[in-house]
Amino acid sequence: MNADWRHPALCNWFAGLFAAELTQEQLQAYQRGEGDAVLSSLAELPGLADSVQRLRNAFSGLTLLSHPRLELAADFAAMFLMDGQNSAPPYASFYSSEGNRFFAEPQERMQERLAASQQEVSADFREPSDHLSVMLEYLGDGFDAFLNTDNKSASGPTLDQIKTFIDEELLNWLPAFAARSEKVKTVSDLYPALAALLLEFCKGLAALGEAPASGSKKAVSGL
Amino acid sequence: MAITRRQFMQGLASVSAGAMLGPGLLMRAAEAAVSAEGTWKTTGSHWGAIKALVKGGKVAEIKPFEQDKYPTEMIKGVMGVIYNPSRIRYPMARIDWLKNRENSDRTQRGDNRFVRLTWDEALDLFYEELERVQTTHGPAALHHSTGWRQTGQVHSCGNHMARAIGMHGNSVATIGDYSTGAAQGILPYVLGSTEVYSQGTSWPLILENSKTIILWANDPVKNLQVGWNCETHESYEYLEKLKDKVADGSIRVISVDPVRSKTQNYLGCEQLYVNPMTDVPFMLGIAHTLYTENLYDKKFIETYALGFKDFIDYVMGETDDKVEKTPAWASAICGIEEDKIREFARLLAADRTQLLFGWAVQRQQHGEQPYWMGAVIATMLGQIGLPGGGISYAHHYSSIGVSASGASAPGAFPRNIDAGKVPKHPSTDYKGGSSTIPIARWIDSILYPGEKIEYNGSEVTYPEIRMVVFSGCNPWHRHQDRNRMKQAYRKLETAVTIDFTWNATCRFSDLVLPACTQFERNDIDIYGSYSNRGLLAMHKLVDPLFHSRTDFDIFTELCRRFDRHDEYRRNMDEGQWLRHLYNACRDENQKAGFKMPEFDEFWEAGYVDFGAGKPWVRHADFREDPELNALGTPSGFIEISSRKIGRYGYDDCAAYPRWMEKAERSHGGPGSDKFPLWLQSVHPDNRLHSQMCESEEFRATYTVQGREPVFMGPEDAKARGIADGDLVRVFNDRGQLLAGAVVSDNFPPGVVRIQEGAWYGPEDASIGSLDTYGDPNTLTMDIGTSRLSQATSANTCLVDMEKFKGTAPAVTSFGGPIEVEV
Repeated sequence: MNADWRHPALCNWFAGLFAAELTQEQLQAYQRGEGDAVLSSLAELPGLADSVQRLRNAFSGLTLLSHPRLELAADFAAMFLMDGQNSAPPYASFYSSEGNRFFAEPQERMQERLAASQQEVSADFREPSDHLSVMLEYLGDGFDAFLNTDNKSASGPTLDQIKTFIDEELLNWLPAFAARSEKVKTVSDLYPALAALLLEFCKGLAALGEAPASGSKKAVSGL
Repeated sequence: MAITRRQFMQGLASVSAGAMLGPGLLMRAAEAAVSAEGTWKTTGSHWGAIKALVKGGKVAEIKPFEQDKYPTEMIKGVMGVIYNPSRIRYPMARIDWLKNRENSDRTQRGDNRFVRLTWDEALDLFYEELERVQTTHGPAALHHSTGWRQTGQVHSCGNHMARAIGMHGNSVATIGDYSTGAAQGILPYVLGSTEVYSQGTSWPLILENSKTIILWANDPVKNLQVGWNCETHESYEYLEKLKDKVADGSIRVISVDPVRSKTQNYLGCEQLYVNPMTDVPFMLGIAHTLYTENLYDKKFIETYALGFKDFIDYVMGETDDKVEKTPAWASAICGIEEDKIREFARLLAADRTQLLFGWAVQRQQHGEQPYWMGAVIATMLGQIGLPGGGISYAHHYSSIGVSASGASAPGAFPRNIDAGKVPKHPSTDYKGGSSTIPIARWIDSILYPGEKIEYNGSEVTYPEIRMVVFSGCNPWHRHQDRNRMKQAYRKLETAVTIDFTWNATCRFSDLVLPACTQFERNDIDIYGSYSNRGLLAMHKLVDPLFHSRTDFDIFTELCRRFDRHDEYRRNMDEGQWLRHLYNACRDENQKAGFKMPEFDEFWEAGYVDFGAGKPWVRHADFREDPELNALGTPSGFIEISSRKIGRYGYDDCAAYPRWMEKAERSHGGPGSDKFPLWLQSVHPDNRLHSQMCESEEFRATYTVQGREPVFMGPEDAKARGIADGDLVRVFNDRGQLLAGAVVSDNFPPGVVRIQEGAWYGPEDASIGSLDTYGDPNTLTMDIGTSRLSQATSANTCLVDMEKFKGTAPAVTSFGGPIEVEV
């Protein structure tokens, strides 16, 4: 499959979901089915149908909860916000360093990548640059640049560079992240399902082929 | 049918609308010059001053400050504190408390889920709870406390918390501390001050004049690694010289201790073994020998002391118990042969003898008695106030004994409400409860409000505490008997903790606020708590990580909720406070002839040195003129017997030092048939109390199978089939824990050690749950030392142990809630 407009948009969708808890407004939008287009679009990607169905089931299950937003917020906290002992911290460093330390080499590499593209993490977010959402947004921007670069301008990354980033900076820890996510005690399956879906999504990205229209590109801004 | 781009984007817009964070987590970077080599910055800590290489906004390397010739290994743990995976990253609230507040299910504490809050939400809740408690219940319902906080004079977190909460309303205060509560109770009656936090005779004079040094339950080589302010480690230079003098025979050092201490092993000195908790009978045997062999200094006693007769009548068996405290009597209890007791007494009296006491012997039931007896022996020897003679209770602490430079230390951000101001809620109606309680009795106060206890000549009525706030403090390390604490916490309505790493105190809280570490803020500190050797700049190494904030910011914003924030910070920010404190210190020191540069020059250099001080002798002025330089005792003299204490009529702290049997005691004492091992919970060798326990790589240098070590002798290990490196279950009727066996010849039969400060990590929140890491206070007894001090009795503790069988549970100490009910 080739890269197309869905890939950067989905990267940003994932980034948003891992960045913060769902608000009441967002949750209601999902419960009204307004996220169906996104989920259906994901399900169209090779190999993701089962994972998407698991996520749909999780959304459906929220109707059984008396305080779904609060319970989901507690799930989000248990999954991503608490500690290195029981949760699944969404930082590459945690899975790559001795002693599961934060701010290790993967964060340094992301920092260098951002600096090379004159970017930094927004002051509101106040997270290390190897936070999953930052990495996904960076990836989405890379896809955007790749897709929007014509043969002549040569300002975007190549698909190979994007895939190298996915292989070396995401798929080297997302399996462990998804595995830890499955072990965290949560009321809803939503976030474990989301982590599992992200892993499959990224595997799919790593298997993308060159789009015929994209031609050969030269390096490189961003990735 | 395939989803169109339009459908997709519409859906994406719908589900993204109203998100907490707007689109775009990345932004265009501000131009900033970044040095590839990084920058070395200076800062300080309880573990000493350090230089840190900061590269790309991160601490890349840490090395000791150039002036620190004896740095502790513990600075290797600093990076593991800053970048710890269990840092508290956001303000968090316990979900059931958030839903139901004071009516929450409190049995879920320690076992409940949390949700993230914004700072505004969290501080609103904090403020609402303070308002609710003050308006509904008054000051008796609120208690806040701090502990060993991080170093730094601007940001000292206890001051920030106390000032902000104090500006809002009154609360239940505490007196004493967990380290020296009994000493603080008894020594003002005997020697006129607490002694434990006072400068002592300078080491050079001890090395020059002492012929004998007695280390009484004292392990300075272990304990001098850390200090209250930035530690200089200057004492180690003198300990090195003492080691040489031990080797060449010019000073005889004897360690009176059941355990072969780190200091004994370092100095290569002698040990005199004494049964645990029986120092007082040994001392009474010494007093008996000094008296009956006429080895005591009558003239000194006549000139400088009162109450000898009452005491010596007790020693000679002429008082109520009719028991003469002969060396033979003492020997049967303390385990030292009677001839050795006599020999030891003669040695003390033979020449100049310096008694150096540690704090462990007063952290036991009746802990006042060995300290009082130490003072009595020193008085009988008549060397108090002489160089290299007398008694010290503090040479193992914060480099006491290193001469003071004479320079002034900087002030601090104020702890109290400003003069003339009143709190928003000025009520002082404690509803029949006392406004101040002994610190070690706060759990009793929660459990038994309205109950009355005797304390230091007065009566304390426990107030009904409903809300607690802790900052820079880990009560789930320092207090005794975890299962009792769990019961108390089920009565609390609200618990708020401000800290930087998830620990048990956070888990058992309802609202957890992330402070940054001291390495994420600018500050200043004195270099050398008692030597005042210099002034240290504490450069911020990195910005506050995640959503953590300085205590300054946290409590400024809390005060903004009742419109007192400008008064709180006196209209100054961090930078202005730094300059203000520095300039005040500079003015003070210039008067005394200590030159300090302008602030900017100091900040750039990172340090200003005040030079070494002149040698000094504790109580020399009193010895020179006891009328003019009277002690702070009721009489102005050393009180061998205290009429004032006698008038209190306490059966557990009488008018003169006495031997009293303990509630439980090993080596044939009460309870030793059931639990035969004495558990000592000394200050750790690799932490400052519980600080740095979370630092994972450093912790791995001393743990056994990931657990806190339990040290034991080969006989006790063999008798239980335990080998070095085994997992061990240590237990008594109060609790149980897992620890890793370290079998060592340093430990005699019947004595085991688990160092305090090991983080509590129960399997679950139930009463009696197994502690998975090895916190000794799971097992210790929560009783007061006596009616006089009501201090901690942590070292009165019997246990047994067995090799752990089965699958060991994972360690739960270093994170958030574990056994979460969902």
